[in-house]
Amino acid sequence: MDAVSVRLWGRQRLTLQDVFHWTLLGVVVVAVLYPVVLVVLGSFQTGRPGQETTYSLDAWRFAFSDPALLLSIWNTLTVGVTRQSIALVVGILLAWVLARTDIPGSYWLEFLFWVAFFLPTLPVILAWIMLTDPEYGLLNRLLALLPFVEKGPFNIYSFWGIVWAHLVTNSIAIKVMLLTPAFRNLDASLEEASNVSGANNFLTITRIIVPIMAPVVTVVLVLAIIHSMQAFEIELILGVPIRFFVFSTQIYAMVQQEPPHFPAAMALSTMILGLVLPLIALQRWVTVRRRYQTITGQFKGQKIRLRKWKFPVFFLVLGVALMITVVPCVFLIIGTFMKLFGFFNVSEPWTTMHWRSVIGDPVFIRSTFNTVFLAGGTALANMVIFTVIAYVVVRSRFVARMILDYVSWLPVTLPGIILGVGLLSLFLGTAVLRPLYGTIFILVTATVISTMTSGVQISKSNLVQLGNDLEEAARVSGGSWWQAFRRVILPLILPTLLLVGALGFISAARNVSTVVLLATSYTKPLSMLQLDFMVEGRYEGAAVVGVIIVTITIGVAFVARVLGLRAGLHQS
Amino acid sequence: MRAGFYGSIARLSDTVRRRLFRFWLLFLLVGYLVVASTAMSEALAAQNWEQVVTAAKKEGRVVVFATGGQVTRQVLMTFQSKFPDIHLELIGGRSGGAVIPRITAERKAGQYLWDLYIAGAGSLTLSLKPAGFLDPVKGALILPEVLDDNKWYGGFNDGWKDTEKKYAYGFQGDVSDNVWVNRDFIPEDKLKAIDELVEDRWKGRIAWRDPTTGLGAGASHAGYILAVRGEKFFRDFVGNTGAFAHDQRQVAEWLIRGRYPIVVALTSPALQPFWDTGIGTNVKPLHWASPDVPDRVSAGTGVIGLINRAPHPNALRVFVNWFLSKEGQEVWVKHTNRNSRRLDVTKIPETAPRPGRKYFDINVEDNVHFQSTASKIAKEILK
Repeated sequence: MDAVSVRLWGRQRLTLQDVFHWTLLGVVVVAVLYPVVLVVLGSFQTGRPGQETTYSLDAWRFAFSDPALLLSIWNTLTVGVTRQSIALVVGILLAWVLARTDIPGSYWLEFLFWVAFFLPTLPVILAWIMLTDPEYGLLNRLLALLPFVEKGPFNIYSFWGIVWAHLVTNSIAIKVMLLTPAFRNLDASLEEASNVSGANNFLTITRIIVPIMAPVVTVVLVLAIIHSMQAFEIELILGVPIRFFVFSTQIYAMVQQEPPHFPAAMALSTMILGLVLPLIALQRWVTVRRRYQTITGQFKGQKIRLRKWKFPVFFLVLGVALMITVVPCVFLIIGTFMKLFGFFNVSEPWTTMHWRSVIGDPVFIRSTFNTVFLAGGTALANMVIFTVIAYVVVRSRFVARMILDYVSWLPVTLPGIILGVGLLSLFLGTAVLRPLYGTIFILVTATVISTMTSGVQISKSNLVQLGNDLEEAARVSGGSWWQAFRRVILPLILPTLLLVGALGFISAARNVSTVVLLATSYTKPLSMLQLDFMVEGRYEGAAVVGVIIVTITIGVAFVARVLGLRAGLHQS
Repeated sequence: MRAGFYGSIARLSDTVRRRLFRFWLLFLLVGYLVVASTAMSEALAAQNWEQVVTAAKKEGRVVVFATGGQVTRQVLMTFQSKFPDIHLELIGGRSGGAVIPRITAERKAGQYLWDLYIAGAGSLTLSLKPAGFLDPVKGALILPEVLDDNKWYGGFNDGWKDTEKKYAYGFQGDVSDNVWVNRDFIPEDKLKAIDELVEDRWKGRIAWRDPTTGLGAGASHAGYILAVRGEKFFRDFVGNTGAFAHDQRQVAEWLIRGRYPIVVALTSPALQPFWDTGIGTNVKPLHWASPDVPDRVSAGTGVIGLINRAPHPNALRVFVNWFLSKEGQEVWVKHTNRNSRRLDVTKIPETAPRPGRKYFDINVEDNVHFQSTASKIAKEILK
């Protein structure tokens, strides 16, 4: 790539690599900044649809005049801090156990956490409501049978119920998914050196492991904070009935008004953007201030022996994994065969009519195909594009790589429906993309953009761990850049690449808020068919579609997992 | 002298007989013209209809937005089986307002992609009409049976929801019960009328579908109560609320399980799945103490509007004429379990408007402001 160059002025030369870098930056900036800027500008627009556009602070005044806003921000902070603190500690411990110790079946235990992440949120919440509702929850009723228990202690409709719901749906699972591969890339000699110096495992984790894992832990933490600000499905079901409102339900309420108040919703979303920028700067500072390379030419992959603690720890991890996987899976599947989800006391409670209703729906086959195409296209595009972006940010000397890094953070800062409005304008306002409007390629583009942040940052965190000496050794031996990348770097990052692909697949398969404004009846995926059932209050049909989506996703993730195990670092 | 009719004619003078003859001749002529013109207009309408159908088949598709889920889709896809050469492209949504930014952005980019809109009256009258996105509905109506006043409750024109009576036509008309009580938890003698729900003993025992958004069943029911009983009553009523939720299934389960044995703004179709399985059979509607308080009639999500600059104008006309005909409305009633305003289709007796009774239509544009006012008050009290 360096051989071809053009002299510009003085000693400045423009190489093919420069052209590639600037083109990549241009495409990413347009794809991301165009909708983001439109959303920010939209927050200052007044005037109804179809009327002349004027600009003022009216939407901001309207959004911030809501007396419930301050309380909702406080609630967001308290729920977010509480659940992320617990999830981060538990996630780090679980990831360390799975990646660094000799507990049996660690790879498949890790996969159980992937499955937990793939499960659709609504049916999982319904399952936990069935178990822990204060009036009729099964667990409460069972405990109330005990002589010394007057009333069951569990209440899913509470602050701690909301925290619990987050922990058992996504919060812990995503941390295990993201941290375990990074822990696996740790050089065992670091732990050996710590143990030889007299530190026990706890000190080793806190003084050696966590600091050297700072880039990936910071990324996971920042992503978690952003998601905390946007999480609303659980709060809508569990929080609204007890008047526990959070920031995202305020945004949702703006959009649900008649007429919908998108400028006010955009004003609130812009606020999230403003709050997140310092976090992005912090994450960048952590990443660049020192080196975090753990995979070098002297890499040693060796697991810690737990000895007498091996099986107790194994059963503890298995218990956690089964609780967040098997419990909701069982109720999810049971729910699809019930006449009414959660009502066991009806006569002949079991039926296959919901399955027949879904599979017999004329749009089912096409929606399934659309989902596979959408999710598969997103996964493949994510693996290629995000790896390239991450490589340029971490390994290149491109002068504007910091801009690329910052811009790649922006998509996750906007709620899905707001990003969807911005992307709508991008596709309709760009001559190149307009002919694709109404096709499935637009949906793929939208889901790729919406998953950019997590994909790039996960890839980046992995590349940061790779020592330069590996690539340099390949180049010194006479290999080209592409040969070094293909024969040395790619096998090492393949597990992470497949993780990025799997995350992209599930995100696209489940996505509703970003695609709802872009899909047509021809491109409608299964997630929107699921929405059809939920709109009618037919949880059972929605659960059937959820099971189908999860089955497809687990199948793909299983293949990705097997391929990932064969590649990557092998540990003894 | 001859007796009877002919005898009496014979007794009249020639002049009178001539005048009588001319009168009858004129009468017969006028009658013939009326019958002939009706037959001709029907023939013309039929010919016109055939021309429109032929042109619609050439267009090949019609693009419809409709709120609702699988059931709505099944209803509208019946059109497909009736007119297989006209492909129905249906895009659904949770609410009518959800598609407004899409239509707006498309039109700004010069893309006119939509033909029809079927949703609640609010999104048509509050969003699409002020934006200038709508065409008059009547201009697309061809079939005589669609415009026949005798076929519609209150006449055809009684269905308009906008003040101009042009753009938003309500084909659905349900008398919906506002308040439901689970009598397994609250017997009849403890609670007899809605009026009692402002008493302190009911504090915390009432649940609503979300009345704070200005949209949907919650806001519609809230606006109705505010309109018929005034602000003080409404404030006291809402003040007794225990909980509210956006999801109707969640609210229905609270009612059935007795978590909140009194629920407001739930529709009977939401309870039907429970009744079909034999549970919640003791859930009964609660009425006002006085029969002088008008019941609430609503078009729900059964209001139709025509998007202007439609890309398939003939297919649009075929669809809207079919949909508002007896056949189309019979399919709607059968699948959605909601009443049509047409008088010649199946009635659901529990929710059908009864002739002679007074009703309050919350969906007409002049009454929509009650919804937004009620939502603001509810938000102030509940949030």
